[in-house]
Amino acid sequence: MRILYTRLDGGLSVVNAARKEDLEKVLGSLTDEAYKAHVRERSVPVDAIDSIEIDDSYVLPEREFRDAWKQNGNLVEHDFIKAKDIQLQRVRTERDLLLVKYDGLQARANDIGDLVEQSRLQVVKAELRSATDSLKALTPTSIQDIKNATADLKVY
Amino acid sequence: MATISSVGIGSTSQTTVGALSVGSLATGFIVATQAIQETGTSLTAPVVPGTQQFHASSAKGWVVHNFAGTIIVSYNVTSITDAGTGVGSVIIATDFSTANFVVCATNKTDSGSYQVCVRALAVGSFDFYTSNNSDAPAESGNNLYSFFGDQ
Repeated sequence: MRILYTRLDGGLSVVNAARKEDLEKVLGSLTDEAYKAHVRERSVPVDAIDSIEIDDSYVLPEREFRDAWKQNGNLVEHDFIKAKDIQLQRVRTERDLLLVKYDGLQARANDIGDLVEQSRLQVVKAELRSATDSLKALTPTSIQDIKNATADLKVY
Repeated sequence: MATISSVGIGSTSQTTVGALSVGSLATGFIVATQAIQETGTSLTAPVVPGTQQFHASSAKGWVVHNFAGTIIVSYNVTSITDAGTGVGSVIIATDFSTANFVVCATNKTDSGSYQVCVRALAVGSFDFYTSNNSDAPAESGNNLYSFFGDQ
């Protein structure tokens, strides 16, 4: 048994119930209705929005953008703006680590007066600073749009 | 093997058990009630499966769930709420008497290192937060919990 509901903060929660036979070891024999009532009463907060039971066979989206999930009736979809923000944060985190690395290399190039290396590093750092530009400009209509607009920082 | 048709004779807190067959028991024993188990000092009252968990040293429940919140095995757990990457709640089937109970939590994973901390303990639930070594919410393997206290 699974239940979807939307929280007051706009996020989506998915309740995954224990098996009925496992609960019966503690609660005694339960009818199907009593089992579902117990799960709903204890698991769904009073301020939950649009709580609804979904079929166990329903396949939820990939979890890569889990925090961008949103409820549409008894379906789960992506909020693409949230997904884009999540991806931007991931790129920024990775980029910040690279900038620290290249700052160190640049300080070393400055110390030894290596003008060629200084120039190369300035170019690299400028590329890193603009790594989020295409993603920021995107109005996504799919997760694939977001992935396509994401800079590959592994080359750095 | 002796056959006992009733036990606890002569006690106001007796629990009688019909057709109980236990080789080493004799009449006059009082089967431990929840109260006897919670007091935890009796050296004479035998324990039966239905009251074993009321002793202070006994786990009141346990659960293993994957990072999507699907329960793999559990005892005394109603559900796992998946609230996002690495975060969610364990909903306990039977309330504790207070929110001062103990949760042991860990993560089982085949690679990497993940931490699980618990938050917002209430009498019937607690929240969990699973993170990687950078303290970013993360998901890997299974989370495992057991909990102890008075119910």
